[in-house]
Amino acid sequence: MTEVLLRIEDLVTRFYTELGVVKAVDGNSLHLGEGESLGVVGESGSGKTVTALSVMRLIENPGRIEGGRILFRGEDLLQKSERQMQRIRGKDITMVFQDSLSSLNPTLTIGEQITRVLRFHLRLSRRERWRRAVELLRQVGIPEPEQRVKHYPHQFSGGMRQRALIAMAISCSPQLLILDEPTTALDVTIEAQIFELVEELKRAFRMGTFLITHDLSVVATFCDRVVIMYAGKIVEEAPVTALYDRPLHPYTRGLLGSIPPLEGGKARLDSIPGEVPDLISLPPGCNFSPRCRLADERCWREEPPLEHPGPGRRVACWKAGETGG
Amino acid sequence: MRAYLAKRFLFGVLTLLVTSLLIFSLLRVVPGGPVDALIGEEWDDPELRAQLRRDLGLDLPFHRQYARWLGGLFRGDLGVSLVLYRGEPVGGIILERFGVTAQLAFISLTIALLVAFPAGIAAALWKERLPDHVFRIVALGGISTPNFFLGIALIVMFGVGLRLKWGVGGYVPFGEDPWGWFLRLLLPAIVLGTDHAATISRMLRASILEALGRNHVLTAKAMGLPRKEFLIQDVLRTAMVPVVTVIGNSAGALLDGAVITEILFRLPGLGSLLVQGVYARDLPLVQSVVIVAVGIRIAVNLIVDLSYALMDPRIRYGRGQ
Ligand SMILES: Nc1ncnc2c1ncn2[C@@H]1O[C@H](COP(=O)(O)OP(=O)(O)O)[C@@H](O)[C@H]1O
Ligand code: SF4
Ligand SMILES: [Mg+2]
Repeated sequence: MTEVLLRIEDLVTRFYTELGVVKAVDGNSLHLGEGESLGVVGESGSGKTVTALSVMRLIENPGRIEGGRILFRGEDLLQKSERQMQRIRGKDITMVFQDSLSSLNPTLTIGEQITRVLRFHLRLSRRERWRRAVELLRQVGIPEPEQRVKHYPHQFSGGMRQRALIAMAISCSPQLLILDEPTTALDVTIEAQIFELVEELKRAFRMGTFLITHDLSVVATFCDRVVIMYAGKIVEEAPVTALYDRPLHPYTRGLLGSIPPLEGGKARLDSIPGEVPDLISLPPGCNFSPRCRLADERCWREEPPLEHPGPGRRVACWKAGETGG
Repeated sequence: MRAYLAKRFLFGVLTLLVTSLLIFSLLRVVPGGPVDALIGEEWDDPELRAQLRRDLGLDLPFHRQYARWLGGLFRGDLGVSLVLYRGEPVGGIILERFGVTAQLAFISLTIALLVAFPAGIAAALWKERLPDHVFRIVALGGISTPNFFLGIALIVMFGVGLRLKWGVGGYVPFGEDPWGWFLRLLLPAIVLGTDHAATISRMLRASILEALGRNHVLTAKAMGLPRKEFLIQDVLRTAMVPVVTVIGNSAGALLDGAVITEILFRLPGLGSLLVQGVYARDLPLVQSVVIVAVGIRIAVNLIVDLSYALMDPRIRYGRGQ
């Protein structure tokens, strides 16, 4: 058993908008071991990004983290000052975002953007910082790093930009790397290359990775465990193989059903009829009941608790495991 | 980058040519030329009139007159003043007068920027809170007050009310009395600059708010960069790109706006020269003043494009690979 790197307990994050209170993360718990890879999967709007931003303590007005604990190596991040968080962000925990073009500053070179991260976290001379930036670019597979370090983001291709962003994220050897849909904007071959790279880096640095995606096929090759989120709540958790062998939640089965055949392109989630409910006014009972084929009286009335049906597994469904119809 | 600037430059020259033709034709169409101004409309001596027209080259066909003027311009010869400064070369007069206008525009823009930057940044960072509301109201007031009214109000207040020597306008050269020079230019500079301070600060506010929501700001935060670092490098720096254009436009517009202000405050600048020239029907003077003003405006735009390119690497190095 590995050391626990991150443990989230009963996290509640809400946004107080003019239209009402958005329950973006509604009492979730999860954990991640050292060097482990956790996949967080769910349709868009299910609270994945908000969970990650809560860990980074980057929730801003009108959002608030209202409850729970976020233990990073045993210390509660919610008790840290902003100053302490600045030292943790970018050094111990980093995050790579979806769209690499807008995630990089268009007015600074790649080298300037990497070296300024080094400047704030490590004690290195200017020359050492630049040498390290070149080394990092080489490490993430960017050809001719000595030249590339002086280039601006728009001079890179999408895949190379994402590599550069990853180089920046691992520049201070973090223990936890959060990837928020890192390959959505890229085509399938580039996507595979990026995941190969992350896999390599993960092994080299024993980095824990928290991979947010809505693509279960990515999770199958890259992650050890999976958490399925729906409407702000964790509805299922399982080791990857177990999840694929025997999904317990009807929502998970729907997601798995939407994985295209091997030779196909990316998975699409629109095969589950209906939409993610409005997080301001959630339905009574089970959040998934309006879209669930198995839903009955009890599902509409009472919310199913998160139970432990087996080792390493959790599921929140009154009819867990039933396939029905 | 080079191609981009070359293109801009070419456009500038073309614009200048088109406007020169426009000015020239317009001035020939209006009744009452310099001959009338020189000898008076009542003096009815056709012989003398014809003689004068020949001497001044006004009897030549339109295109020959235009070609003469244009040829002069290319050689740097702006012609000779006929009425206002009988016989003096226009170039020298413009140079002298432009100095005053440029000083006024410079002080005006400096004040506008000194006000607009803190105001715009504060309004953005305290969005929808007190500073934002205050600056919004002040800006709206600044834009909607006509310049001539603001000018008269200031003269009444400082010149008439407080009886300050510098409150009623006039001009003192910097070399003679630097402090007096500054004080006399201060009120007209304020009058001229309010609109621009308001526009620039509002633009800056919008631009900062837009930049604050950009993903790379989130990346900067996620990398643990302190507030000061990402506010300057990720927010202000990228927000400046559109603001520079607005500042450039303001710099150009200050020259236009100078006309009323210079007359109001009795400043011997390009604006008042133009008005005097029109009243005196000094054709060569007026057409050259206008073409120089247009030229300056185009040059300012060119400088803006250049700084724009220097600030945004996407323009500097072209798009993609
Ligand atoms: N700044 C914000 N203001 C208001 N609501 C927000 C904000 N950020 C996220 N939300 C809401 O929180 C919910 C979860 O969003 P998110 O975590 O981004 O979803 P996901 O990453 O799973 O697609 C959504 O309903 C979204 O509208
Ligand atoms: S609790 Fe009921 S509605 Fe919810 S997922 Fe299970 S069967 Fe469907
Ligand atoms: Mg998201």
